[in-house]
Amino acid sequence: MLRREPKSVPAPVVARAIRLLRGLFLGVTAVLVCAMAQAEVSVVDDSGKAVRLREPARRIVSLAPHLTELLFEAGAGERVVGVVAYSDYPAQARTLPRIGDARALDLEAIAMLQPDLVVAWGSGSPKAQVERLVRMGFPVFLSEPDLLESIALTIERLGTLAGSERSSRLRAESFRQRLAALRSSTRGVRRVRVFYQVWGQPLLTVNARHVIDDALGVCGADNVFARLKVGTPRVDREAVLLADPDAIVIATSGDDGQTHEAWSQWRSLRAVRNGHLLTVDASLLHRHTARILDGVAALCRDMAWVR
Amino acid sequence: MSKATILDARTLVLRAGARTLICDLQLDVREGEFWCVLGPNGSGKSTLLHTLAGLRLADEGEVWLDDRPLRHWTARSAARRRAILLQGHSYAFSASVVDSVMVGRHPHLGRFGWPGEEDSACVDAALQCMDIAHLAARDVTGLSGGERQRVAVAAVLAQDPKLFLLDEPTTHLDLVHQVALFRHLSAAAKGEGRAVVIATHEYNLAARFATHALLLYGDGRTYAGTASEVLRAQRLSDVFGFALEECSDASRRAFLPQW
Amino acid sequence: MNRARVRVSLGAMLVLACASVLLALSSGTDGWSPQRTWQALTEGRSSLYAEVVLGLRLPRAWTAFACGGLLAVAGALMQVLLRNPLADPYVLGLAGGAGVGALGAMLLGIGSVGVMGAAWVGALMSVAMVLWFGRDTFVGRSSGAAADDPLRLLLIGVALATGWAALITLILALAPDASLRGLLFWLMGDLDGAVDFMVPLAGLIVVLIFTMFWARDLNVLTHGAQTAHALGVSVKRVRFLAMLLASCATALAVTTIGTVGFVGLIVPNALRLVFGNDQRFLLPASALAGGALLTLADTLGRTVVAPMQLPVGGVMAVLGAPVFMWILSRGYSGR
Repeated sequence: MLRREPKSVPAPVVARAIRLLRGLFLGVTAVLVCAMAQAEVSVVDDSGKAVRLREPARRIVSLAPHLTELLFEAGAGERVVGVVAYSDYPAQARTLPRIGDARALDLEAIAMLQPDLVVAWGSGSPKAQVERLVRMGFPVFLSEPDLLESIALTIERLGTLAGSERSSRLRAESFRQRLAALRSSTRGVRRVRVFYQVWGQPLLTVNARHVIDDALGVCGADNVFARLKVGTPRVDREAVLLADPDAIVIATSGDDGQTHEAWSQWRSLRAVRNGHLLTVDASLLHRHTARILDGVAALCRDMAWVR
Repeated sequence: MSKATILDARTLVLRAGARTLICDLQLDVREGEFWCVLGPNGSGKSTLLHTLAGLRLADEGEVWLDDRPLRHWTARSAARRRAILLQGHSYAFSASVVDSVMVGRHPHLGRFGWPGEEDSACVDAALQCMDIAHLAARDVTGLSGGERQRVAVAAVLAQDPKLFLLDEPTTHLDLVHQVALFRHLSAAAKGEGRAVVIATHEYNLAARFATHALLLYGDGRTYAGTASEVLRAQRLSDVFGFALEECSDASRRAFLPQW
Repeated sequence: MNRARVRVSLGAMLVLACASVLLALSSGTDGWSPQRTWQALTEGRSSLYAEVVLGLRLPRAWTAFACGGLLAVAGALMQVLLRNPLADPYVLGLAGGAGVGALGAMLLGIGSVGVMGAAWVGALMSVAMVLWFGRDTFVGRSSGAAADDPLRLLLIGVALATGWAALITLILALAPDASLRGLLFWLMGDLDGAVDFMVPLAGLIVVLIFTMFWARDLNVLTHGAQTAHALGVSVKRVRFLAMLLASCATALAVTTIGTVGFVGLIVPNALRLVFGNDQRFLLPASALAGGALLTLADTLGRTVVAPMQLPVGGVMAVLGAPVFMWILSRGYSGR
């Protein structure tokens, strides 16, 4: 299983098989087309749509900070010509032209950059404007990573589109190895029930269709709100108390005022009694890049400590 | 002239912007008197009534109510002595007719007082008098213009003041109710220690019922006196700028426009 | 309305209000569980469930009740002050002022107490501006045309509110992404963080007691400033007090739960349609009914899709709009 469909209940096996077949078919087609015109590249993006370029992209615009980072990971860094606000990693990305932020894109600036590939974030980029870009004729690659594995996949796909397939494969492979190592380190341990707090006011958490849920799973922890249908659900504080998780994990990027103070008053909570109110680095875990494994490793250490 | 003075305007000057409406008016309203203020549109009738009621300060001169200047009265004690019917009363919210009339009892109730027997009797009498008892439970915002006007007048009657100040009370009223109202006011003026001052355009009704009249020319000039002295064809033609002719028989007197 | 009917109706509303609070206490993510709640309460604050009921549901229910009551009373006062049934607690731009204050504080990264303080400052600034620009309405002896026209006051308020709204839009546009979530959340209004319910509850009681002193004066004021003046009401003093009390009530509610709409507009109007426009009844009834409505809406909001939550303002509008339409279609029922 490579990926899960966003915004739907976990797909049944049949649907998954059909999607695999479709992917296979597209792959075969791509191979055939490649044979006819050497330079043409094609991948399937996370919305299931084929992105086909007559030749590897030279001028890439990234519409999300994590995608900028993944493009650099894929070895396509020098082909990135425009990025959105907060594209702060790696350091080279900071000097690139800014073409908007998560709320609004400067379509004019994007058009002036004459990109031959636009990389967008399914749930994070402004939808209407991305559709506009598609209508304007720019090839758009939609990324919506919902598993740790899909990060490796995205690196590979971006590498393919940018013509840096070899180096991107290497990066993806090392990512997979490191992930496998983390996974094997928690094999057979006692599962820990965790409440993961994305934000305190309003109280936000994640459901199963989220990379963070996958990260928790890798570390041998179970997200108490995995079954909710909304991606980033707002939950009732009472529901957290009644779930009485083994640990409460608070995501913080350091200066955003997210602390565990609000929880420490509930002395009946198992997590409070045992002192298992933890904080994790949101800037690592909430950004779907290779560095997420640093965050996952830290999370796994925390979970081991809770155990 | 032994009757007590209720309202006394001394060297009153009223202005509207740069215009002087009333200059140096002396007005002495005594108990038992029924005054009609007549004058063309914009001659200062409403302004005068507002000033006499204390809703507005005189530009010069002073108004006395009973034994002291109006500005020395608190709003509440003044409201127990005098009532004023304002023009163009509007109802912003739904309310029953009887509640809208009960508002007139406000100055007679304590801060936390609820209307008692006496207040209800006053309101009932006012409703009867204005012929709206059958509308008592209706919503004022759904009434016709004439009915609404009668509700507003009833509220003033329910206030049961010594001095009635009414600004064009017959607006929207049909002939029957116009006459009934004048008749009632004329009777009310004769009550103990009471007086009535109304602004009106009904010079014939005024001639029939008023004891005194005040003409406002709108340029500062005024003319006050007994009705029989003031309400003459020549003076009325003068003040309205339209020729009127007096017709009379043994018991009646009326003015007819000359056209 | 006579005194006996006022007593009966208010008694019925008090029962309704208590029922709404009890319902809020016994409902949660586990559905409606009065037995479990009762057990937890009789056992004292030892079990986790008791802690949930006493530590979360109780303050939340009382905060909802107090703020609903404050907003409804403020709405009723504003409607009388402006002689306009369309007025609501936010019509004079108070919420906008509070919003700008709070958002500014959040942008500067001040803690939650500072945000609350800044919201107060913003709200009071807005009130001060209304009082200053509309000073003819509130002070002085003359009752000229400008002084008697509540439309002027309304216009000042609407202009202010528009200004604040524009400022909020600008702040949101310039805010860094990370703080945006908190800002939007604050604007939406919510009861999640409600802990300190004593202040709004005490505020509601104080405001209600104060308004009751001038309740009949307010009745007279609905007939227009000059009529009220002629009937012995100190129009400007009563207006000033109504403005001040409504502003304090709104500011208290806004700083506690954010901008929750609907309750301040609909509750007084619905009560007016059913019971008539007597402030002696309308003000306490608004407090009880507004409180009950907000408590009910919040209880629904946190139980319908539990463990997730729905925004209380949305639930309330969905709940209240049809009821109001029904009352409106029945028409005015007299005394």
